[in-house]
Amino acid sequence: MTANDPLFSSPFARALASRVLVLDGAMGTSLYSRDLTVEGDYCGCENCTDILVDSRPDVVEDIHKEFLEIGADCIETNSFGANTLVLGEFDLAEKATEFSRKSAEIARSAADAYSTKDKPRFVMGSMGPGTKLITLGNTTWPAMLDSYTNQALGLIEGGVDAFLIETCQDLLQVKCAVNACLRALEQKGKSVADIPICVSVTIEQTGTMLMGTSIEAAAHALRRYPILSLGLNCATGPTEMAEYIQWLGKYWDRHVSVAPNAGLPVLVEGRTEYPLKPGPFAEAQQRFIEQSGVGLVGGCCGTTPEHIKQLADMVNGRDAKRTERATLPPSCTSLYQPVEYRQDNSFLIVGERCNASGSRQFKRLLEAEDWDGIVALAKNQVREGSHVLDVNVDYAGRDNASDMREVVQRLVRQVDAPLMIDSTQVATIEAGLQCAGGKCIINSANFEDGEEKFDQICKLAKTYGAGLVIGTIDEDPEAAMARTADRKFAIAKRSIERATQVHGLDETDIFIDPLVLPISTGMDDDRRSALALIEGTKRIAETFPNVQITCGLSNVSFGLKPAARQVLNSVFLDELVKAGMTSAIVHASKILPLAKIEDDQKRVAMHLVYDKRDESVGGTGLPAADEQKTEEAALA
Amino acid sequence: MPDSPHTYDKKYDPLQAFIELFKDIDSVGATAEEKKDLTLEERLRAHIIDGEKEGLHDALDEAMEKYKPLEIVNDHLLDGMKTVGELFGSGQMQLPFVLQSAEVMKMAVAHLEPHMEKIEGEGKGSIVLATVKGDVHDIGKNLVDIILSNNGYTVHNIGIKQTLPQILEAWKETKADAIGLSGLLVKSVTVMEENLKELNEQKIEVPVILGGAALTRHYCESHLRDLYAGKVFYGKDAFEGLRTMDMLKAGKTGVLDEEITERLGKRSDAQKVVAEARAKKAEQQDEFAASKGDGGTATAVRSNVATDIDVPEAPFWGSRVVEGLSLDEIYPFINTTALFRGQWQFKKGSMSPEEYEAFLEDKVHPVFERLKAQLRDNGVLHPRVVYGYWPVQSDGDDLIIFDPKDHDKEIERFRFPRQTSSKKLCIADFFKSVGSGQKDVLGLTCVTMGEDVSKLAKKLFDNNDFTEYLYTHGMGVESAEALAELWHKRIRAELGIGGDDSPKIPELFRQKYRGSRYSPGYPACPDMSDQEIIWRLLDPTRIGCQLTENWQIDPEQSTSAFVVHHPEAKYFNV
Repeated sequence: MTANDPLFSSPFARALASRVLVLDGAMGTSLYSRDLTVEGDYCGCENCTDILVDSRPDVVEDIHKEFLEIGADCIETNSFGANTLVLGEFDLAEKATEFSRKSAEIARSAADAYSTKDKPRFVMGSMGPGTKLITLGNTTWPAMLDSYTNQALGLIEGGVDAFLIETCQDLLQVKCAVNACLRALEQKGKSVADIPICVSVTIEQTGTMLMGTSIEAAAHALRRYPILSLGLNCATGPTEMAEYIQWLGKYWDRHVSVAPNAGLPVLVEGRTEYPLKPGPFAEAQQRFIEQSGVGLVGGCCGTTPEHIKQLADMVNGRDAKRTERATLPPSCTSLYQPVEYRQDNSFLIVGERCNASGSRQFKRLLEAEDWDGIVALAKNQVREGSHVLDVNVDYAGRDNASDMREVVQRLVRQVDAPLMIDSTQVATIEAGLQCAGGKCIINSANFEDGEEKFDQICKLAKTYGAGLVIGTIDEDPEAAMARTADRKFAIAKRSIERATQVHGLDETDIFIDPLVLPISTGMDDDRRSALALIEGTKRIAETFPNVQITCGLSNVSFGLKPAARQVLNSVFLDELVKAGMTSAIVHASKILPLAKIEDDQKRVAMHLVYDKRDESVGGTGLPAADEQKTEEAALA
Repeated sequence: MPDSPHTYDKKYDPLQAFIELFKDIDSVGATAEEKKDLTLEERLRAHIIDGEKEGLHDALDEAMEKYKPLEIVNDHLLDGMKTVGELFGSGQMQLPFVLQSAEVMKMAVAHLEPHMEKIEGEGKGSIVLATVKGDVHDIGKNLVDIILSNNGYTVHNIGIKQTLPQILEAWKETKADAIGLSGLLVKSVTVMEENLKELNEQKIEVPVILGGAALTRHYCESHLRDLYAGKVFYGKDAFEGLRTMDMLKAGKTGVLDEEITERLGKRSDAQKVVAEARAKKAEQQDEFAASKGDGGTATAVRSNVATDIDVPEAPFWGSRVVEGLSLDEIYPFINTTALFRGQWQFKKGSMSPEEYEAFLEDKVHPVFERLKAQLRDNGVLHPRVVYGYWPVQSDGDDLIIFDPKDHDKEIERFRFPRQTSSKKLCIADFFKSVGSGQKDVLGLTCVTMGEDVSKLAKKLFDNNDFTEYLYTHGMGVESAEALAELWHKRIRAELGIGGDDSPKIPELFRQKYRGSRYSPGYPACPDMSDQEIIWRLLDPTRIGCQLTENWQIDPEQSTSAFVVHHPEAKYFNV
């Protein structure tokens, strides 16, 4: 992200770049302290605070003014639950856009009344998590996407300066809300250059988001989205948040926001109480600004106008402090933790066994719909050393998208490994991505069916913030799969350029698969396959050092005995890693360290890889003479 | 040089060479023996041992062409159950699998029953089973029920909190061969003892089998055995109960008597040594006390726990009720070790740590995930908390509780036992004393998961769904413990002493935080009657918790505790 990025060009973003902004305090707490009646003011919808923009706009406006009066730079619209899903619980689903628009209009007029040239006031459109989470299976991505889109449309119509997707519990919910904002902006002919998107997640007392996601995983999963800031709000007070704010201050490459509760909430005798006083509350945030370069400070549950007043007095036009930010290593994530693409002294091991076309065991489990069995198979791969798990449910005659949902839903919660969503069908891939909160890798895109399908899959990577495997296959009617090093490199180059330049994918998120073809058939055409792959890998790695390179290794030994395959796969993989391969899709426990392979087996495997036949029969030349003895023994 | 290098044959083909090389090297992993290769008899046993329902009816139908139904049960199926018992006893089989075997056994018996000739007295025998008065714990007793019923006994399982008159009524009505009594609480041992005395009074000499976590083999086989006029036996687990019943019915109680006598003999030798050592130690202590000139009263000796700890500020005084907690907030605090090993009985047995870990991941975690979702989505668990803070001062071994509104007015007093040796610790020492002129703060909590989970467990049990019963019951108990842990964390945060908390939740189970939480009945505060005082202070009836006669909490999925902030406060024994 550079300062010239359109992301930083909106008035709100420019203000945030120059000084620390103060956000208002708790809307809910303020509303509950007013004397409002369920039947009259809430129109019979108890606890539906979003209806108040319709029934009691005066009360909402009063609260905005109260915070503006004491110096808040930004006020949040009263639209925390004004989306289709939440309002649907009160039979008000169709009001999502209308209530959101009204909430924005009320805040807009209040903010404008207080704005001066020196101190413009901003309106942030509040978008809460709702009551249903996708990861828990309470709702689906499409339903939530519509729900948030309706809300975002209203907020845009009402004139917000920024979206604030807040109190996020579930990464899928965040991704969905961000996409809804982008979709609504597009419908209104606008972009994040006009109305930026801010995200604030909730880290519970357990040290993770409600679904178990660490702040590191959240940052990795969200960093490819065009969001202006990432921060924390709710659940805990500033003391408990400090560790995570420090981390964001060190690694998040854009703005950081914080809106703590006034200490830990306590539900007592039916009332919620927050113990932290305004003084210590403001002091703690001062440390966040100075030490971690936090640019947007505010308060969540239990924070009163007095809390915000002391906060505003402390900030008082203070310049934004830019702290040194380290670069996050390119990674994918499970729902819980990140996994780096580049593994020290190893390669990224992608477990191959959850694949209906590659594993009979998996296929049988899928036929029996033995989901627990599939989870066990997945866990077993993690134990064997897999960093990432490939999931492929392509199976003719079954509903592949539905199978993908069933499998991914379970794996994301029960297995702590990022997923590689593998299918030839766009719909199946998308079904998986819509259930996986972490940052996945898509397997794969290629040009076999032309650029249209390639583009569709790149868009999925963009929409779901995923990494992407691209196979070196193109439209060539004779031999679509690249067999030579030249073709492998040429198609890789074309793919990388299109994915980055047309679709804006990050180079580090691309995995080129230069295709493993068997060398075990005895056909002359196949003899040089391994050699071509090694050569192609070298060239891709040299030209695109930031791109990942992966392959489906086992294909090289297709048709051989299992023991022979294990040896050949292991020897070949070692050569590939030396050539620059960064990842491989393998059966982790079947990869042998070279030291454990007997010398003669290793040597003949190398001959096979490098096609050490006599030149007269088309080989690369016989092996050196001193290798003779073992081979003779073997042939005897 | 015999090995002089020479060139490769021009026809050398590495692919052929490679294939040749592996000609005799085979894949690893031999194929598992197919069940079809087993004889009919072996298959019947295998169905029971593997807990395999698939194909059971076919095997039984085939067997009925050869054997009478009762022969199938007694000679083959029970033989399988015996193996299951042995595997369980030696830690090689996990309880849930035992229960699966029991379920298959029950299915088999149900399938065979219509074909059985009804002959009077053909049953193996009968027993009345009960959890004693004041005790609500029934899992052990229910396991005995399962195992005995599946081994041909008629079991009259009359439930929990049973008084002796109720038990005797059932016994007289059913003319059962024996009575089995169970209980988890220390107090239940006393109740068993009282029950045995009452049986003596009534001149009833029915054989009694006693079991449950609180009872030790030695106490049962020496003291209780001497006390009761009839026969009394210790049932370590359901399988020992089964063996005892088999012996009783076969008239072989003499064998059991001999075994007991032998055990006691071995023990008495060891005991002499211990007794001598103890006597010597007591003598030294008396001397020590005398030399201090305090007349030898142990209570006058205070431990050297620090007295200069700053008293945290209580966020409020008195008690408060908390509701509306999310289970997803509580679940991460479940101690999975306690759940998997303790409640669900997945023992490590002969597995290596890695194998056991893999076993837990593959077999147990999916169940855990499923139950978490089910209990949450079906609204079975209802977490509620009542907790609060009281101004306190210690007075010797006493802890004085003052009125939350008037900090000089004494309203209650706990008396805690003091270690007679070691560090002479006493819970009261962790608080500012009367002499210090300062008031200290005590936290009290009572948490519950509500009674619906008990009801669900009972329903599962009644439907013979034993595995689910075990899972559900265990989840209820450990969720309550998790809530207690979570709330203890909250209290530390409220007191401003949360800074010492380990960031890792499992570390919290090892008290990696400041202070301690003691539940009545713990070694440091064994007096269960403290619960009455806690009840007066907290009034947990507001969250649906009642005290039983033995000061246990009903519903069972509840727990209460003292929360102590002193950094030196950790678990100890008196």
